[in-house]
Amino acid sequence: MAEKRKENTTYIKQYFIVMILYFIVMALVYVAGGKEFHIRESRYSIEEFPADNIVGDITIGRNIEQIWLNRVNYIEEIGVMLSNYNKEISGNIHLKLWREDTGDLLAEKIVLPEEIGLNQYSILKLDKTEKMESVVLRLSVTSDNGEIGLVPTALYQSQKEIEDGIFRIDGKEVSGALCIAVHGKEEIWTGSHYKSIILCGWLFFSLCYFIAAWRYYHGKKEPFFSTMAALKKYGFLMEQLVGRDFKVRYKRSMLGIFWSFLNPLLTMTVQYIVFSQLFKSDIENFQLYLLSGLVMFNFFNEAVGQSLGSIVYNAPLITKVYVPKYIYPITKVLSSAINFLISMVPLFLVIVVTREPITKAFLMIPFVMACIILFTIGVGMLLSALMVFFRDIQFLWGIISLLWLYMTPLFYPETILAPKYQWIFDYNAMHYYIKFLRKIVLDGVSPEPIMYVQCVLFSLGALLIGGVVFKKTQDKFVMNI
Amino acid sequence: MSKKIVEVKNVSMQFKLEQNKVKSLKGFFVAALQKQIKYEEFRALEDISFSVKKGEVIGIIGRNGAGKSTLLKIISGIMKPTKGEVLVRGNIVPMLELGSGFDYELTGRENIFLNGAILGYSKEYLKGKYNEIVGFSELEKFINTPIRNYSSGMMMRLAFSIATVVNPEILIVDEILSVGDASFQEKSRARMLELMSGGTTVFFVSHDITQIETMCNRVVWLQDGRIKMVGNTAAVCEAYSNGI
Repeated sequence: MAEKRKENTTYIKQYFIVMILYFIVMALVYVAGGKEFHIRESRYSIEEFPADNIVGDITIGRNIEQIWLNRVNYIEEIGVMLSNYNKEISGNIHLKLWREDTGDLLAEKIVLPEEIGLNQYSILKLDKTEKMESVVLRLSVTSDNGEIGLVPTALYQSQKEIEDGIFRIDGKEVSGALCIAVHGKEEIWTGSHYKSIILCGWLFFSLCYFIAAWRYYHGKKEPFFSTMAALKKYGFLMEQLVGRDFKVRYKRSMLGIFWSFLNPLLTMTVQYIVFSQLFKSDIENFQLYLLSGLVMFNFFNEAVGQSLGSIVYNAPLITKVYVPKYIYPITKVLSSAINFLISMVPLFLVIVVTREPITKAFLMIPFVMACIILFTIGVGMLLSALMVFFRDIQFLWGIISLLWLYMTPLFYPETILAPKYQWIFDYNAMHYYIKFLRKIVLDGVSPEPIMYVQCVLFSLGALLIGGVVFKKTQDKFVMNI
Repeated sequence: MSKKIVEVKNVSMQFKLEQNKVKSLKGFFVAALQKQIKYEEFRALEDISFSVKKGEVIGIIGRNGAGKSTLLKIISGIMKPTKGEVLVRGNIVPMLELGSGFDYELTGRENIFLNGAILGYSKEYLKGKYNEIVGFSELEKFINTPIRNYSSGMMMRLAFSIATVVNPEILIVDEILSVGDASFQEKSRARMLELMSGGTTVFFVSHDITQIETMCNRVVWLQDGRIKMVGNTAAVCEAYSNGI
């Protein structure tokens, strides 16, 4: 009985530790997430589109109107394509934005003749932060002065349809739409519902925990508790194996551990010299853009390369002593993870040198590091298991990793790919992790909530596939190595 | 009443011996397309059942290829049997090959911890027994030297000292290990005998029939993967000697 009671209290203790950690992490995410958790670029923005027609000279008394159903929560600016016919003009343009349901004038602006170019967008800025949701808006384009022949015009696209849009020239409805562009922000539900998210997560974890604990207590297998028990039992072994890798790596080199700093820094320098010449790119702070990608990709590449052969090359051990076999690929990834951690130092060096501000969003760097480590463990387990049966994997991996490297925007901008090839990035997990890190170090803000979900999903997916394949095949390892 | 500490239930082990062991992807597909993957089944063990009580010393005898090593590997969990199961209640220390986890770049001290961890010892245990291990191996002077500089005898002494420092509940021994020079051989043999007589359950494989006779309570005789005979030492050993 005494034995059982002791177990009960350890369950409760463990539960409280896990829950406290959970709340701390969720609070940190909220703090680091900041405004990005509440608001993002609106998905309903209307992008600039080309014109195929003009409305004619806009003289006093003419009225060009565009009415549309707006779904952008907070409009920041509205652009209208105007033209001076590439000549000297004297007439101005008066832009007014109305709210149809209340009849309020939301914003107006007088565009002076000298501000109007050839087919250029003139911007009407909104400073009111009134929230709008599915409101019908009316933009009117008029002129207050100017002589015939010396006035500007506006452009429209006769094929374009805007949601619930009505395009009127002097009160007469015309098919098509005025060339406008609407940009703004929208609310994300994660911000306003963050408390509920925390609560739901807490309830979910608690439920899972108690069911798992109850099952485990009654002698059934539970992945969570078995993992915890294994960690406790084999933690020391993993510590020793990771320590061994680390000690042996630089044992006979003169600079030793400094290679962990120097390697990414020197690689970056070489690539920087080459690529800054090749792509006279418009990437801001190219050094940091390059290094943040390199640090992540180098870790992944090295860790997978190491764990790939972890089963095969440990054959003498595996056939002599019983140790759970997943220990081998995992320790190899963890060894590389230490290097990864050290290579963060040159990254921060470059951040400081290039005067990027260090913001609270930096708190989320460990999150993306954890995600990429889990992802790498998944890939490592998968490949190390396959390697036992097909030794070709080691050669294939060399080619695949090279292809992967070029398919990830490390040293070229993301926009280099034509939209129809954008799917390459969509399925590339590394792209998400690198984008996540770059958003933090380059923009100083947290990525959108959806990116957190994407990163976690890729990690869990890889872990699941790798884990299942490894588990299914591990009993056959001994006979094949 | 002593309880059953190890139960071997209907264990069979089959190896698939491929005619041309396919180890490449291309080879696999080519062979699969031509339906050329032929397996020759090899039964290393067939329907082995016996149980062992706490404190017994079990000798396993048989000719080369009878399945002795496979049986030990299955009991120690390194291999999973094709059929049947093995129940083990206690921690096992397999002494199948010494020093297989050594890293030659590391010092003797670092290897004690690495190898100890591989054998499943805890950190506290190793720290407590560290001096005993070093003392037994007589390597105090070289303990901070990378073991690539050790002689093979020194390496075996270190490995032996690490492996035998424990008092496991179940010990698996493939031939009595006596390593090093004459005096160390004597010392290591004494240590082995001490371990085997110390209330531990021992699985002991040997070709030396006199050793089996003196050490074991019971003997399992394997022939071609089957149990030919199992029973008390004298009877089985006599039958075995006559059989040869």
